[in-house]
Amino acid sequence: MVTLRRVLPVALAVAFGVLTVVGLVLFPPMADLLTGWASFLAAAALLLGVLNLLAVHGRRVGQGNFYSLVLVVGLLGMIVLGILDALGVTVGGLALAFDNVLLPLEAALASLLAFFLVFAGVRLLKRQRSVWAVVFIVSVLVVFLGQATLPAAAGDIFARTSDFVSKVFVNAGLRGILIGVALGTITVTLRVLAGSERPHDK
Amino acid sequence: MSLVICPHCQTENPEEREHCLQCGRLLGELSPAEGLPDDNTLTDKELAAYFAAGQDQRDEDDLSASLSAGLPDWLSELEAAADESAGTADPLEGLLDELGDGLELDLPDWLQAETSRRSEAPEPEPGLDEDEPGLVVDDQPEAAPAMPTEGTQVPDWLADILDEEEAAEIFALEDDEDLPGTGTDWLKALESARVAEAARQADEVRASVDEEAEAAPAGAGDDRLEEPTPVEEAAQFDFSDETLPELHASEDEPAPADQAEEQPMTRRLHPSSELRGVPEQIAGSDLPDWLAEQLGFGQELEEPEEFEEEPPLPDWLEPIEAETADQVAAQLDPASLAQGTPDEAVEAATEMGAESAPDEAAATGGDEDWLTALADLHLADEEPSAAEESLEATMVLEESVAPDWMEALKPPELGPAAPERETAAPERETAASTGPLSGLQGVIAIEPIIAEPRGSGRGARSELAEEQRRQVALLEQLMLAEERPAPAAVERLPAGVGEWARLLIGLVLLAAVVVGWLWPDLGGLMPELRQPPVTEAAVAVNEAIQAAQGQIVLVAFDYAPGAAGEMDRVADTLLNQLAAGGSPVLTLSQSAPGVALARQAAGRMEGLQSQSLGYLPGETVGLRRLSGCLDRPADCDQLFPALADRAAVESLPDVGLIVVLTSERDQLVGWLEQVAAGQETPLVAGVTQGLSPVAAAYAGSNRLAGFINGVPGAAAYERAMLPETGRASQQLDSLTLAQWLAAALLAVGGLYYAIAGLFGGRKRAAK
Repeated sequence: MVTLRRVLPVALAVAFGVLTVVGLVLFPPMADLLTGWASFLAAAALLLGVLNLLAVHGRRVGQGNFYSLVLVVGLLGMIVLGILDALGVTVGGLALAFDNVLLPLEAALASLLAFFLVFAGVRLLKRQRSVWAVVFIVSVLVVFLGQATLPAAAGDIFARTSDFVSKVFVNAGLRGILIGVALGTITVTLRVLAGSERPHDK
Repeated sequence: MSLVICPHCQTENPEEREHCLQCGRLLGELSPAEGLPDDNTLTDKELAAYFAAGQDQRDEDDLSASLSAGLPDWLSELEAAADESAGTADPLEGLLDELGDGLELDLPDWLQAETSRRSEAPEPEPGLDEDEPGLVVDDQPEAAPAMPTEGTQVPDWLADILDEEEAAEIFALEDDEDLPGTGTDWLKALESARVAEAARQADEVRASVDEEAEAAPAGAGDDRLEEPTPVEEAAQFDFSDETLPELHASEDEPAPADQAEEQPMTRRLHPSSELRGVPEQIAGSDLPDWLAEQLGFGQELEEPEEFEEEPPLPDWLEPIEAETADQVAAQLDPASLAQGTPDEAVEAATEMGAESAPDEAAATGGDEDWLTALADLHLADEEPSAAEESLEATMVLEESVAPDWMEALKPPELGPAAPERETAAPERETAASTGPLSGLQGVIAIEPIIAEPRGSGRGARSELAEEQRRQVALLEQLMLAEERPAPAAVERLPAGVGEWARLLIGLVLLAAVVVGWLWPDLGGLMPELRQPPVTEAAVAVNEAIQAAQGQIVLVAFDYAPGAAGEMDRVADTLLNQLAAGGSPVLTLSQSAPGVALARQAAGRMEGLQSQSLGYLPGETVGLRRLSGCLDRPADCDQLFPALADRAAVESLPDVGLIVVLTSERDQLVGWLEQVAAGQETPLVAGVTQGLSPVAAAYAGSNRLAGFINGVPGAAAYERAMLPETGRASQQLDSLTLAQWLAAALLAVGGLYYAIAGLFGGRKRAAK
């Protein structure tokens, strides 16, 4: 029984992975079918995650957690508004809550990021006094000023420098990262197909 | 190994021992089984009086009968002989003869010889008989102990008493023997003196006993114990002056064991022999001088032949009456007296006697009890209050009991030891034989449960009990409880320059943003300001859009609301151009917020034909399905099943341009790898400035047709591609001041901390 628990998941993962790869190459409808099943499972997992989240915070509400209460109320409220909108009881209720609650909150949090980055940049040399820190600061300034509105003379210089830095250093580095990521993804995929990697058995 | 029976406690002792292991008395005394010693015992008269007085009582009292049954053999035999000879003046006169003839007693040789000699010899006159060795209380010294052997050293005190002539006469010294210190003749002299004194005392006691026996009522029985009571023993004790020095001397210099049997005189001179039956506290210890004087001691041995007028015995020394004796015996506890000191015993006896003194005084007609007199004498030198207190304290004292630890220390041969302690202690206090503690005492052995190895099994599966579950739940609550005590107030240091600097910088940045928001045409004040140039990628976007005019454009809003501040400008720029070109737009999103953002963007555009497809699930898989739908219209039926308007879905294969608006790398890569790779439909992107390098990489490989990077790119695109500047340029102008300020802060801060660090390092290096 223990062996079956260990072997069955690996066997299923390998089998379906191989079928999907073969289907993508040789028989796309089969690949599409399998990928459709995967989408359904992803949706089911999303629903399960929402229910679990609701249960966890529901217990915390019972323990007196105020923030959990806010989360549960918001979650249930949005669900109810969506259902009401779908049923035609209300019109635009979900959009109203989204436009006036969710978007402003996320925008406000994101706007603080600019201040944090500025302060971090200012104290960078205070915390880490090294050559690479200096190079970092200089690069930030060059690129930043290359995108900023500057007088023509300075603007041109910074613009060309920024363009050079972006095309040479940034693109090269980023392409290397992308290639590395792609190779890693291929490796993990092959390991999953071979049964060496078991992300499903955790 | 032969054993010797102690005459006092009847304990068997090894032959070589001099003193009893149990009671400590000299073992050289004759045991009762061996016969009657001829010294320090009840006289014949006394015994006769005893038996005569108590005969009736014993017959009636069961206790007395039992006591009689428990009497030693020699005493029982004496009793029987007394019964037989009851009525005679001296019932014991023939006892000794009978003992020597008829009774089967294990008499020592000297006693047997004595008894046989007496039976043969005529009855000597009472008095001193110089020829008769041995100390006798009776006028018939019978058992004459053997003389000590030669070689015994004469004590110095005797040598001081006796002169040489007397010693020579008495001891019949040989010519070659010297005095003192040599020979055993001194014992002869001493014996003679003692004989004389004993005879005198015997007469006195005999007379008093006769009187008491005659005066004693018939029913006045005395339930005497098996052994003579201390009072009786005290009455029997010979407190002669000759005895006392002997006692002292013999205590310090006990006779050697090898001379015990050969020197019965020596034994008899020993306080134990003299005071056989008398408690040690009375007879074995030093009597105070006052007591000796009161008792009439002090007669010297110089004139043993002459008998001075015998001083009358003090009243307290007279034998007590039977009745009084019974009372005292009943009250006295031999054990307690044996444990106490002689003085305490005397005091106890005195007090007891004092209690019965009135009765006794009334019965005897005013004769003072010896106990009372003794108490008076004893306490004469002390404060009355102290004496009374001591007496009271003595009387109220409970029987002392040795503590357990003391009993445990008692040698086993002296009594019942503490077997528990002795047996328990060795079990643990054993010397270690192995290991680093070998040879050490008191090592506690390892418990078997620890010493014995155990197999390392898997063990029983643990299961939580209900109580444990509740405890776990409680712990979880405590960990998750929001009502936690406020953390201790951390001592905050006063705001320094850094704190004020950070606050100032933040205010300045905020002001710069606000000013730009209030004054968006700030950049217009400086027309010579360089505007960011339009990139090639942006140009490609324009070309793609121009090529797709009149075609359905699929716009994906895959950015988060947090990036809406930047991406909305890009989205507006592109949608504005699409609207100007008359291209219908289909919007969709892979995230729920994206659907709302798409709706908002479409609402901001006037004249834009847009239709929302809603949410595209499945992320990468969904994108693949979308790619298939774009190629195979039949596959589009499975997409967006909840969409009521199926026409929009059916028009997906007619999409001429795909615009992806995203701020996430994965989203951009997914679109590029899943959709653009299998399609010929061009795909352009609107990304943030942070994602522009990623987009530039894909643009270089022609996978991405073009892209617009953030607000600057959108602003440049508007200026270059659109007839009118839009909100992107306006927003960029409002951010000019903030950009300058941020750049300045970065530069100044970097320079400051760099220089400060250099100087600080030099200072530390100098230190």
